[in-house]
Amino acid sequence: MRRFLVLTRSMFLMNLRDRSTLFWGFAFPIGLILLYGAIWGGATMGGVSAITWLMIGVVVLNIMASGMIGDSTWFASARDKGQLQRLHATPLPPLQLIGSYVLVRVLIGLIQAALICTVAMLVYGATMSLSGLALGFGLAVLGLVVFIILGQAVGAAAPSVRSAMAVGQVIYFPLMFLSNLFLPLEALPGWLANVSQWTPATMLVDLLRTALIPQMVATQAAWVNLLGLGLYGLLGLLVAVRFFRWSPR
Amino acid sequence: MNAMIEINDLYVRYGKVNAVNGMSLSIQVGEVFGLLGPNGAGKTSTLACIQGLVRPNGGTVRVAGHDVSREGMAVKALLGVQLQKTALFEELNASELVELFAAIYNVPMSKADVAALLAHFGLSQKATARPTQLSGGQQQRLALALAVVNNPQVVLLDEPGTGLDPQARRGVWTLIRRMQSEGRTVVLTTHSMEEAQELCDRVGIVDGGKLIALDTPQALIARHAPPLPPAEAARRQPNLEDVFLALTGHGLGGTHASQDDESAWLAAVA
Ligand SMILES: Nc1ncnc2c1ncn2[C@@H]1O[C@H](COP(=O)(O)OP(=O)(O)OP(=O)(O)O)[C@@H](O)[C@H]1O
Ligand SMILES: [Mg+2]
Repeated sequence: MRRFLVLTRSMFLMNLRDRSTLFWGFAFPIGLILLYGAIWGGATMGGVSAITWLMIGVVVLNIMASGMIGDSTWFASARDKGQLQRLHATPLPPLQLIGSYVLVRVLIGLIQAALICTVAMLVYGATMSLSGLALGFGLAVLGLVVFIILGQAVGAAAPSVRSAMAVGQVIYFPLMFLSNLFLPLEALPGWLANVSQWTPATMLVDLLRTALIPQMVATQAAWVNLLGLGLYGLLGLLVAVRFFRWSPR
Repeated sequence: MNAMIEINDLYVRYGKVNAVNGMSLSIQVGEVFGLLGPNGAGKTSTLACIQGLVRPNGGTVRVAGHDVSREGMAVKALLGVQLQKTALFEELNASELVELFAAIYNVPMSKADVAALLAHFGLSQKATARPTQLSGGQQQRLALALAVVNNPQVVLLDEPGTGLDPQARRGVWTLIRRMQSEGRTVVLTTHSMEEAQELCDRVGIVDGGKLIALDTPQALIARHAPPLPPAEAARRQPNLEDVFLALTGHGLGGTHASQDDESAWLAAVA
C-alpha cells in the first residue's frame, strides 16, 4: 500500500513539474475559456447560453488533449529514455504502475475540469445543474479513462516519441473542430456532421452537456454514446496491450 | 564455494543477431565478477537475462537458487541494478528518487535514512538536485545508490565506469569495492581492461556472445598473454588486453597506445 502511495505521489509530482502539462493542461484551456467568454459571453449556442455550452466543450477538449498529447507521449518517452526499463528491473507489479498512472492522470484531469468550470462560472456566469453533478463527474472519469487508453494506444504503437506526438496531434486537431466542442455540428456540411457524430469527443461532450445542462437536447441516445466510448476504450486497450514495450527499440 | 548466479547454456537472439550464444558460467557468493568484452559482445544481453528483462531463447539462469524465468519477481527483489543507460525520472530530485525506489522495494526509509544513503554515495549536497543537474559522475553515483536501496545480495552494474573522467571513475571503483565489503556479490561489465584488472576477483572474457576465457586477471595473463616484444617488456607488464588480443585476434576497441605495434608484432611472429 505504501508502495502504491509513494509511487502515486511521485507520479503526481512528475506531472505537476512537467512544463507541457502545466501549459497544455492548465494555462491553455483557461486561456481558451477566457477568450471564448470575452467573445461569446452573452450569446446563445445550441439553444443554451453560449458560455455554458463552450465551458463543457473546453472540458472535453482538455480531456482529449490530455489523452492524445499528454498520455500518448508520457509512456512512450519513459520507454525510449529507458526509465520504464529501470522500473521493469524492480519487483514493481505492472498493474500498480498502470493503476497509479491512471489514478494520477484522472485526478489531474478532474482538477483541470474543475478549474475550467470555476473560471467560466465565476467570470462569465456559466451555469450547470447541481443535480447532474454526480453523473457529470462519473462521465468525466469515464471520458478521461477512455482518452488515457487511446493515448496509450498511440504511444505504444508509434515507433518513437516524435511519431507518437505527431500522430496524437493529427488526431487531436481535426477532432477539436469536428466534435461539436466549439463549432456546433449544424455548422458542418451534412456528411461531415454524420462522420463527426461518431468521434469519441462528440460522444463524451454530448453525454456531459445533457447531464449538466437541464434544457440541453442530446444529439443521439445516451446508450449509443456510452457504447461508442466503451468500444473506443476496448479497441484502444487491445492496441495498447498488443504494442506495449518496456524497453527502447 | 557457493554459486550466487548460475547461467547454463544461455542463448539470446534478436531477429537474426545471436547476442548470446551458448554462455555458461557461475558467479560465486561475495565476489566481484567482471564481464569484459568489446561493443556488441553480449554483456548487456547476459545481464538482461539475469535481471529478467529479456526472456532467453535457450538455457537457464538461476539467482540464489531461483529460476529467473519462473520466479522473476522473487529474483528482482534480490537484485540491485544499474543499467547501462542511467535513466531516471527527470522531474524528481535525488532524495525523491531514493524514496520512490525504496518504496518500490517495500523498504521503509525515513528522511534520515535517505540522507544517510545519499551521504554514503557522496551526494549530500545534491539531495534536492534533479538528475539533469548532476554531473556524469554524480549521476552514476546516484544510479549506484539506487542500486542498493533494497540492500540487495547481488548488484548488477552495466558499465559503471564508462564515460567518466579518471577521478570520477576511481570514485565509482571505491563504491564498488565498498559494496563487496558489505557482503554483496557484484557483477559488472566493462570494456576497460584496467577496470577489470583493478576491481574484479574473476573476469569472464566475452566475444561474439560466447565466454572465451574465465579466471582471475593474474591467471588469465599468466596463461594467455603472449610474451611481450623486448622493447615493450621494458616499458610495461602484459595485461588483459594482450590476453584478449591473443584469444580473439582483435582488440577491445579501447585506446591502448601500444595496440598497433602489438598487432604488427603479432603479425611478424606469426
Ligand atoms: N533490443 C535489441 N534489438 C536488436 N538487437 C539488439 C538489441 N539489443 C542488443 N542487440 C544486439 O545484440 C548484440 C549484443 O548486444 P549487447 O548490448 O548485449 O552487447 P554489449 O556487450 O552490452 O555491448 P556494449 O559494450 O556496446 O554495451 C549486438 O550486436 C546488438 O546490436
Ligand atoms: Mg552493453
